[in-house]
Amino acid sequence: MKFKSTALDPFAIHRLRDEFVAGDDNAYSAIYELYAKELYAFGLYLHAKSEVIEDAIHDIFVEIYTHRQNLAKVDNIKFYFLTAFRNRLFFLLKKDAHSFELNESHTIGLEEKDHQEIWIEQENNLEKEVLLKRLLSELNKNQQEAIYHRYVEGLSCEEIATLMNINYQSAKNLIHRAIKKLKAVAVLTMLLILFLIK
Amino acid sequence: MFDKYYTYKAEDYLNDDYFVDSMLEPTSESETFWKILIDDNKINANEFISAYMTLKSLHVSKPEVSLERINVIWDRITETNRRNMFSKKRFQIFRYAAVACSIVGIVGFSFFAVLKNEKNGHTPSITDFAHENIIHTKQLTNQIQLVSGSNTLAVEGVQAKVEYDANGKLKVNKQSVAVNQSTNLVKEIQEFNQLRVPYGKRAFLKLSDGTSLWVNTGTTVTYPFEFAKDKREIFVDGEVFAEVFHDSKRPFIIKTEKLDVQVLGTVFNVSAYKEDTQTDVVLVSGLVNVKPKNGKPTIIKPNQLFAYTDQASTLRNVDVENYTSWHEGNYIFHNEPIENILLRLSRYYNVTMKLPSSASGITCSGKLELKDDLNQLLNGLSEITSMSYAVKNDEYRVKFE
Repeated sequence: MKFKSTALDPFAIHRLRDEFVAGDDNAYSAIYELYAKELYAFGLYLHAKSEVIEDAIHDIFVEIYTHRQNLAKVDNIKFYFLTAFRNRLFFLLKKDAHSFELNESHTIGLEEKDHQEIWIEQENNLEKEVLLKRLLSELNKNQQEAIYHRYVEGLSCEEIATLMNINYQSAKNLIHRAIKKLKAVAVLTMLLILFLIK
Repeated sequence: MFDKYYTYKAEDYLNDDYFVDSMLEPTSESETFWKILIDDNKINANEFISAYMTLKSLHVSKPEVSLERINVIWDRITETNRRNMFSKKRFQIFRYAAVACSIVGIVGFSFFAVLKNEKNGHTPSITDFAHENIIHTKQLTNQIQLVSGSNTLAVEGVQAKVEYDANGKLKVNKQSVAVNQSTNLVKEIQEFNQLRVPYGKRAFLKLSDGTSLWVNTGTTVTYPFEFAKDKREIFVDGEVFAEVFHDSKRPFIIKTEKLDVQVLGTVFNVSAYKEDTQTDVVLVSGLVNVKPKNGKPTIIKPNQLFAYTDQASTLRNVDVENYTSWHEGNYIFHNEPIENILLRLSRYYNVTMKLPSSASGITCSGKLELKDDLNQLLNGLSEITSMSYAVKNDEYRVKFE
């Protein structure tokens, strides 16, 4: 039943953080290994271009290297990096005229065509693609992002609200509505999943 | 505590923090908890499994990330960090050497570097760069700073003279500043320099194309290491008086928050403080083309003022001296509301002033010499108007009777 492979107990993470703040480069690379993949996956989920995702990851880790003290009092390191990454990513996406238009409420620029192409390329698995498309096409962009944070990243509603710049109740509602819609396809989901997951 | 689960539907589980947490990060305790509930037939197993499956299917949506890319980014990160450390060390060495010639600090500037950011293949625009870096200016150290890439040169004193010659060689307050040509340093990521002048300070900036800029207090000027072949672009937040070197092949463009000023060769003043609602362009000689972000382009002729706000823009004839005299250390004004004069003075002398919220209706004409002591100037204004002021905790409180 375990989904997460990178789970590390909070004490170990805080120890890493303290070592890094004190100047330990090994701790720095350990922290990178712990979170970089997760950030990258989130970027891909938002359908950002790989170059932009990579620039964003690069920028935030360079930033924290020169400003280690910023991390000293941070309790939830993963949330810290997720926030920094999301901000940086949206900033870079806005800058990049060729990428999607992002409006003020930070909706994700998902296009049906891109969506399909990327998933085919990403997953190289048509059944999965059909399933996910089915699932996600029921949801709007904000709902898509919110449920990813809640059920894949495991963030709390408070954290999602902070991250997405919305109030707590809105975050709660986003997820609530997303689940309602997902339930409608849940039967189909189950059938498909039974074939996909051993 | 578990009886609430007896009637749970799939969506209730998905809204339940304990359920989600124990699926994402199961503990032996949580596994036992759910196992008992299911085995005892206390809960509807179908609903539970449906919730579990939905959760699981969302995990399928987590994109695959290649480890190779993760390693490539890591190499890039360590390379950037190494480079930053290198220039920092250099900064420290030069710092001591530079104290002797009254300039505080220096770094291996890479003024020759016009390397594009090869990794991205695109060049960040000057406006993006300025926006990204402008925030630092106002919270400010109280020193004038020349920033180039990750390097910062702080200049002491109230005024600074920063001059580039045609080859990009730099002099600060008439002292040559060693430009480092080390190949490592040429690889700067950022292609722009920034002159940051805090409130209470002023600077003169001569650019490599021969253009002179008098930079007023509280102003940041962003300019490239080297101008492009077809145009000369700088970004200004604040106020500058510009004498643009004539080059018909390369128009000179001053970009600001609200508008762009395009010229060939001319003398004019731009006041575009981000925190001011109004942006002013005043032309002394030549011809300029002003392009507001919202609104139609306007040609300005000598002795005209183009005043732009988000709501409206106006073009009228003015006495240019009122707008440009600051660069010679004077402040001349005709029928100017006293509040505007005090705002200008507070910027020039970097003090906080508290004014009554309602306009006094007082206007003044005259000339102030800005090298004078601020209190002397305020006493002068108090004598000729009904203004009075008091200083409390470094704050000037102004009253009109």
